[in-house]
Amino acid sequence: MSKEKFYKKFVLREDMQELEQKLDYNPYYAKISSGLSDPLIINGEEYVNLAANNYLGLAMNPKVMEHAKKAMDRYGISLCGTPIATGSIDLYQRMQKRLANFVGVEDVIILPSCYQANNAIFMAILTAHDVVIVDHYAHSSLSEGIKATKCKIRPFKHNDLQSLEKNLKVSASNLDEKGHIFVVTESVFSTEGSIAPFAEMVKLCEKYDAIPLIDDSHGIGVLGKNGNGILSHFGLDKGNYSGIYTTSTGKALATVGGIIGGPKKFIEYLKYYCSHLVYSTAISPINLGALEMILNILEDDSEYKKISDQMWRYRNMLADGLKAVGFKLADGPAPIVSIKAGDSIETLLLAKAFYKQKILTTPFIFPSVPLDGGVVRLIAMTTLKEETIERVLGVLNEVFIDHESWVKGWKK
Amino acid sequence: MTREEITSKVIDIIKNCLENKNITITTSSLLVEDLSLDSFAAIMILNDLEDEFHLTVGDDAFDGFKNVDNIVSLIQNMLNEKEKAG
Ligand SMILES: Cc1ncc(COP(=O)(O)O)c(C=O)c1O
Repeated sequence: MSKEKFYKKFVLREDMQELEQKLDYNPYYAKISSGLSDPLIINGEEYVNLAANNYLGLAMNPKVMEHAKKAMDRYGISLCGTPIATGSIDLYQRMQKRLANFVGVEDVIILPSCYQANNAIFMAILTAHDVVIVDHYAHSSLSEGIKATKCKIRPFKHNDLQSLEKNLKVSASNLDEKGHIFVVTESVFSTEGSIAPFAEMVKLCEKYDAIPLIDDSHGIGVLGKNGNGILSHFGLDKGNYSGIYTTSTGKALATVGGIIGGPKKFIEYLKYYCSHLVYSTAISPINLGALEMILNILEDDSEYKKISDQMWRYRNMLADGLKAVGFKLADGPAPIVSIKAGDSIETLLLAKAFYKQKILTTPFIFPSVPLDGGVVRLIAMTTLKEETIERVLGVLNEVFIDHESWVKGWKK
Repeated sequence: MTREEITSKVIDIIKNCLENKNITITTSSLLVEDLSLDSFAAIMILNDLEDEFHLTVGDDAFDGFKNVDNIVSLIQNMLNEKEKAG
């Protein structure tokens, strides 16, 4: 095949470009010229940011930024080496201990992102003998990691214990001697804010001798005692969880990074045999510095309570306001507010109606969600000003009306 | 097994795998447009077909398939092959 032909295969589909023209709107890759401040600056104009996963508002926290600067002054921008070489600074090692202790596992490794961590873990441990039973709606980083191996994949219905047990039964009866069964899920599903029934899932794993793996990316910082995450939320953090744990530190923990946690000896093995760790430049010391202060803040009971109370208060104000004007919500128990918007067009039109009011949201369309299951996700970070939330609540009715009439117009 | 019997089993299996219980499934239902099948939903259905019909189908067996009828044909062909092989 010629080079021209090859590149022709990889152009955005024309109907997508046509769609963008018809909608006169593209929600993706907005040109943002500020940090996660209130307001957010897009193309020189002020917007309300309801799109970032900065749940606790720590991304621009002055204490965190100051601590990150100190780490930068001491260690520079990059260690220009992997953790097995020059990346293994004392700060990295200190943060390994603190993160392990914080989430409730024996030990962790820290990678530059959780996408990398979730790819890494499966590629490091799975063989053709293994079976992975995985939630149907697992994040791309998990599903792509699993698909990259030779294991048998058995998706189960979303958060459905019956479907999980059926798969455990079949897998256990067909398993060869060298194989293991893994059960993979997320703590909080980020498009709808539902929480996995993880305590029951761990019990089922025990019954069938399977190893659980949970991705706590949207649970850490928001669930559990001091935002310690899903293990604390279900009381599994007192040394009684022997499964595998991963999380992003790029959401409530407001930095960039991913961790893999588990039993000490297992993590010791990964330190030498996890290719994505051993052959990739270590996480930046600036991130580690910021993370250290973020854990200080979360571990301070009164400070954490103040921030998390504000997070839930804004979440509830937003959810109540949306319901009051007629929106239907996915209404999961996490601090994520997701509006059920319909098909892809209806979803994009809703994001556009918010955008018209200078509010940035996150639309999810097929294949991230089912065809008719589009949602527009709103996350109100704690550092939004009170008047900003009031302004948002004040325009919701107009957003609703605009959306209805645009959808009608589109369908004609 | 007759085509009708296979069809009814295939539709039952698909129904059991869909997150949305309210979708009506017929042989002409389109896999993506009507049933919203993503790659994991397809694998879920394939696993159940393998268990039900005692076949080894493979995770990419639906590649290029449009509707439920294509799946029924696949299963019918595989069952015929299996019978021939004895
Ligand atoms: C559930 C889940 N897991 C993993 C990731 C990837 O994490 P990271 O951004 O640290 O690569 C994300 C999103 O970014 C996520 O939502």
